[in-house]
Amino acid sequence: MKHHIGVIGFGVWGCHSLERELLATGRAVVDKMFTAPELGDNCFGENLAEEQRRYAEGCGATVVSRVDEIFNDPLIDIVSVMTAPKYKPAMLAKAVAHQKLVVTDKPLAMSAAEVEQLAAQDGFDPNRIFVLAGYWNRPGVAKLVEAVQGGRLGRVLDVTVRLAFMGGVFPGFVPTASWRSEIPSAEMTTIGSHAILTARRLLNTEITDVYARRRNMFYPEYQQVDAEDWCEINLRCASTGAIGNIVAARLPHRVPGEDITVEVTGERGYGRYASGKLELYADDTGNKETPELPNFCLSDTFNALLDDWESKRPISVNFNAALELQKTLDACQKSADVKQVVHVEK
Amino acid sequence: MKNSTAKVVRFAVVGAGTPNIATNHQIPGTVLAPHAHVELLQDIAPGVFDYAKRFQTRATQDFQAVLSDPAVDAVQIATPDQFHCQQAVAALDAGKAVVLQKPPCVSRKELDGLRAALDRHPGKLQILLNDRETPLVRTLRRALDDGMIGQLRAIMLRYRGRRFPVGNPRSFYLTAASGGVWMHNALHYLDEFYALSDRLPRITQCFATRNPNGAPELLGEGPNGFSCWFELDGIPALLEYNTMLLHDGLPGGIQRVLLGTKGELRVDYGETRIQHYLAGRDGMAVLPLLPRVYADASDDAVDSFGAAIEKISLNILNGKPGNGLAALAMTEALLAARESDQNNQIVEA
Ligand SMILES: NC(=O)c1ccc[n+]([C@@H]2O[C@H](COP(=O)([O-])OP(=O)(O)OC[C@H]3O[C@@H](n4cnc5c(N)ncnc54)[C@H](O)[C@@H]3O)[C@@H](O)[C@H]2O)c1
Repeated sequence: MKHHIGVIGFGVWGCHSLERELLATGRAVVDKMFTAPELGDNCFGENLAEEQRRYAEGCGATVVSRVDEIFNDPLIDIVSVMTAPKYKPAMLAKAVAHQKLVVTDKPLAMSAAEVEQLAAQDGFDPNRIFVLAGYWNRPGVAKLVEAVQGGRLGRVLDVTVRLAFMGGVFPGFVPTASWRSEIPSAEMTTIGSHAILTARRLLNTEITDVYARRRNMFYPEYQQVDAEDWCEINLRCASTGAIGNIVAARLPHRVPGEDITVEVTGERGYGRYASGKLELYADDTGNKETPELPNFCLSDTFNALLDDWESKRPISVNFNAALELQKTLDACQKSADVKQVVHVEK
Repeated sequence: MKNSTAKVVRFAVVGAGTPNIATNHQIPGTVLAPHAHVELLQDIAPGVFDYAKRFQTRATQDFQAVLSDPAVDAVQIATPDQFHCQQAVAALDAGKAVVLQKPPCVSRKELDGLRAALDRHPGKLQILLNDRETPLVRTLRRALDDGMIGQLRAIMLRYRGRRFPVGNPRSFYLTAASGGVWMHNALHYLDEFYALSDRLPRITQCFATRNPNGAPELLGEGPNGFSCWFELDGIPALLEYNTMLLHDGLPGGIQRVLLGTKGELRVDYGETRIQHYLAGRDGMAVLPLLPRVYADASDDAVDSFGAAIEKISLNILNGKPGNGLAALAMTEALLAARESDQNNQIVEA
């Protein structure tokens, strides 16, 4: 079965366009593309119309002038919504109403309240939205999650995550005030979301309390538009007593070979994934396992998504997971604003 | 080496009658320090007389005799934690300078008592915090001073492993009143933050938890895992004190990370190798460790005690106050962390 993709919002988050990964599965084609300035600020200074034309040509798609041409196309079954969070809920609502499978980046909106409005839509199906968020799909993290879910570490007590995008400001990216106004927060959202969702998978239960700080540590251009380049989060899960912490930042330097770093401590063991290697001490034995890890390939995640979608299984990061993430993010924002521990809304 | 004509501080060492931190490290360190002299040893245990022979000095089992001895300028207190506060207050009120092992106290009430005593005897109390004098911490500080990562922005210290085993089931250290492993040990790490940043914690936020699945000698009462953020005047410092790895075979160690505007210094779990990453440069460099302060120190711990005691002695000789107030502020931050966890709130100092 070939899937047909309509892309909404070229260039806004163009640097990680999801349709490319879908194309890499060999199971989809891009049919139509649409973008408009009101989907998000252009922070890369490109001539978007021209870039889009070239990009569309490269994947054999047509550029359309009205977004409805995508929604109303019966052949298109997947819509990639890559707008700024501020404009996303409207597009998500339409796509879901048109029975499309949505692929999108985190977060879904500016706040959990906006996301909840989506859910209130008639016939809303949370399994229609796939959100690319979290590093749970890194083979080392996935193995840790598997160990946690299989009870091999016992009750999880502590999870720590360090996630940094390294090497300075993304090449060509110029933070602007309007970009900042279209996202709930800067790196707390962009990088922090990945870290929170990863921690959540490892904690295996809801995060109930957070303490978070946003900071400008490194880049004056971020500071000028009130966009943090660093966040730190402390967290607790009341149901299990687990605790954890997260550091998410955009660092000026690079640590070769480093991706996400996670540690998990449970009643019956400990695991650490760092620099692409996993050390696992499970089952209360004290024996160390260092499983061979396959290379990470993002298109595997999209292959799994298509498998899940085609066989009507729950998709890996669906609307409900994204809503929970957004509630956690909301609590982090509030915590950073009031500089106090904040309860995550149910 | 001692200079026999130099003015020295004549110390009594309290808690020096069994094989312990005082007899294994602190006294050998004091012997190395040029401006310190071991004048007298005291312990309730009779072994103190054997140690007096070994260190060629005098001994007593009577604490009051220490306080009234005119040949004693200053008292090093290295007894178990629950005696620190009362012995320190007694020694201060007896007119001695006091050098107190960490933790200076284990409760708010004791902290108030120590602060009141320090008010009565300004500058007379110093806390013996030797971690900052290890080659590792000194090298990190030197690297910061040399601008190797630009301006310091954040510190993260993660401990994973388990606590020291406490054999006696009735030990004070296993009770909730002791503050557990957090109060017993964490001051070292706060002092490292202080040594590296020159800043004291102003805001504390902590979540704590407990792994109950371990042998009694490793557990005790109260939490054994802590995730704690301290605000050091704009520099966030994470102390993750995870002593929940209780099974034989699980790994232990400390990871230190210093992040700056231009790069990172990192010492990974179980290593003393300092990794250095710099913006605009590919790869990692390894920083060589500074040498010990004393070439004839038998190990790093003795060396660090010697260095700490030398600085303390010079403070006493020069009438400088040393770290008393700062160490009490850091102790307050440790107490605040426990309260922060219990009340689900930040605590400001
Ligand atoms: N700085 C460091 O690196 C470091 C390392 C270990 C211990 N310490 C601190 O040093 C202190 C001692 O630790 P330790 O492991 O050597 O303890 P320990 O229990 O082995 O030794 C304490 C000594 O004090 C004696 N003692 C007990 N009650 C006494 C009293 N009322 N009066 C006089 N003597 C008394 C005991 O007989 C014993 O010899 C503790 O507070 C600990 O926190 C510091």
